[in-house]
Amino acid sequence: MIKFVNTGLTYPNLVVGIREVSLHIAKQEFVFIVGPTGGGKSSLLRMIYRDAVATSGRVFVFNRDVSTMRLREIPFHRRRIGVIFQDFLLLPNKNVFQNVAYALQIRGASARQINALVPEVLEWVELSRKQKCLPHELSGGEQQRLCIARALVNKPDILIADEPTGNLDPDTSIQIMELVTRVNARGTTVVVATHDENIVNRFRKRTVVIAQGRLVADRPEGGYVEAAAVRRA
Amino acid sequence: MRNLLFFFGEFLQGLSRNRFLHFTYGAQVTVSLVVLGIFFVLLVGAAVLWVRLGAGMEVHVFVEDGLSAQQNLQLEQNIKNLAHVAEVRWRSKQEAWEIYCKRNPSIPLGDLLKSEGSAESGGTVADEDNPFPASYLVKVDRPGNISGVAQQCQKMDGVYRVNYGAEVVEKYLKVFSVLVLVCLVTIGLLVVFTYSSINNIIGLSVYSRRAEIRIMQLVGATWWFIRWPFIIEGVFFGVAGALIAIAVVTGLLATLGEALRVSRLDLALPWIGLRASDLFLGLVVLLLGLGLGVGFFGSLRKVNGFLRREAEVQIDAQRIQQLMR
Repeated sequence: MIKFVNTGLTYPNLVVGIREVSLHIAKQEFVFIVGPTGGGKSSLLRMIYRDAVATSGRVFVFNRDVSTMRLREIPFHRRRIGVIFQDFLLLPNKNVFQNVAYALQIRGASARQINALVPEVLEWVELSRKQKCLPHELSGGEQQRLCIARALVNKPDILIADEPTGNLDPDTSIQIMELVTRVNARGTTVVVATHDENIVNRFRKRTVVIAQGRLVADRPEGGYVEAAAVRRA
Repeated sequence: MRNLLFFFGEFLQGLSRNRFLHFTYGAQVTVSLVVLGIFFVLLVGAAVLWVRLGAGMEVHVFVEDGLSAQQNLQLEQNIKNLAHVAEVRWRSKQEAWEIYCKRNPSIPLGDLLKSEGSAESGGTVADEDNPFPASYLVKVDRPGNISGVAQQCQKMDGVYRVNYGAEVVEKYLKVFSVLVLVCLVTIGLLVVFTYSSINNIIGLSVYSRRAEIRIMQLVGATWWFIRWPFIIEGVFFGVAGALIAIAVVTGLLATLGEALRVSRLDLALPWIGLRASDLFLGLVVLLLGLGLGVGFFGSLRKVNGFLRREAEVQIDAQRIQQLMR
């Protein structure tokens, strides 16, 4: 489903984000990307939803080289990928219902479709009662659940989560990750970038360690490991 | 249709936010267009004045006494054949005498004449006693060509003298070419100023919603989907500002016209005669066109600035790839 082949990413200021990474993530897989801050986790994810373009090697998503994708194809590529962020990125002037509906409106969904799908997904993330609330009226955990709802309403093939628990307390983080695990159980490929050791150890999924832009470990059995420890070993 | 309603809803939501910014936006567009409209009226006024004054100018070609009918016909034909001549009219000696008598009723010219008739009564006078020469009154296509035509007429056989008020014409040409030039340059500058000021305010509006644009991109909105609410906003303010400006300028014109009428200045200066209705269409086309154009293209350009980031990512990557080879 996602394949990095000797992928490198150098930014315009010549800072190297990713060096020679090769990685394959299969359909319906759940993968943690761990590593220190600034190690290249987010860069790797951004290449999947074509927010960054590989400067060497190739990146295949849905068997398509995203580096060669035309500009007008990008929105349609992103509609197959749900993305959630540490800082939520919700539309502040739209309420819970409207934030989720927006992801459907951009696809030209009818009012009937919106009225059927949005309550369903809000029910799933347990935000039905807060449909009319604005994002700033929600707790951090609720805002992240809203992001997940927005990401899921289009029934994406891939869910990407970039530090989804970075702004949340430990209990809420676990709730959010349980929700993400349920998404994966429904058949969606999930890639989560995090440096939250507790989360990685608790959920025991395949774990890829990225540090200084390099892939330093790929542990199918899961479990958090420090990049430095990998290097020492 | 569904999308159109959605875009319109987004635009209305956008209006309810950032009220101060939107008020400033609308006010700036309106003020810029009002100033532009006033200068447009001045330019049109100057142009009308130019044309009306120019239309009254003519070359008086005085012919020698004693020309035969054949010679007169030939001379008239020669004048008509000149370039830039629009109209040639014959004025007989008798006609010239009558005009003189009408204009100067108090001068007892009749006493000096042997034949019947007097200046007071404006009656007939024998040609041999009539001191006024017959003439051709020649109108030209543009005031700028009057001296050239006059010089050519002067060289013709049978022409006694040519008069076209050279000094007045020269001054007229000088003053009005400067006036028209100043108005044109000012309007040009105002169009640029209006465009850039409206553009800047649109830029602020788009900038205040940059995070929203980023989110729209990330959830898979196409460029046109993101652009439309901003374009509707730009067009709304452009058109609304233009309509207000048209109302203000035509109102000012109507008030000015009324003031001229009341003060009887319109009788003293009949060539002013500019009415709001004369200018209405021009004002509508200029201001509405500019408001609409700037609103549409200004918004498009500013939103594109933010959207282009996506293209730049790709361009940067290609540049770096080339650097690394």
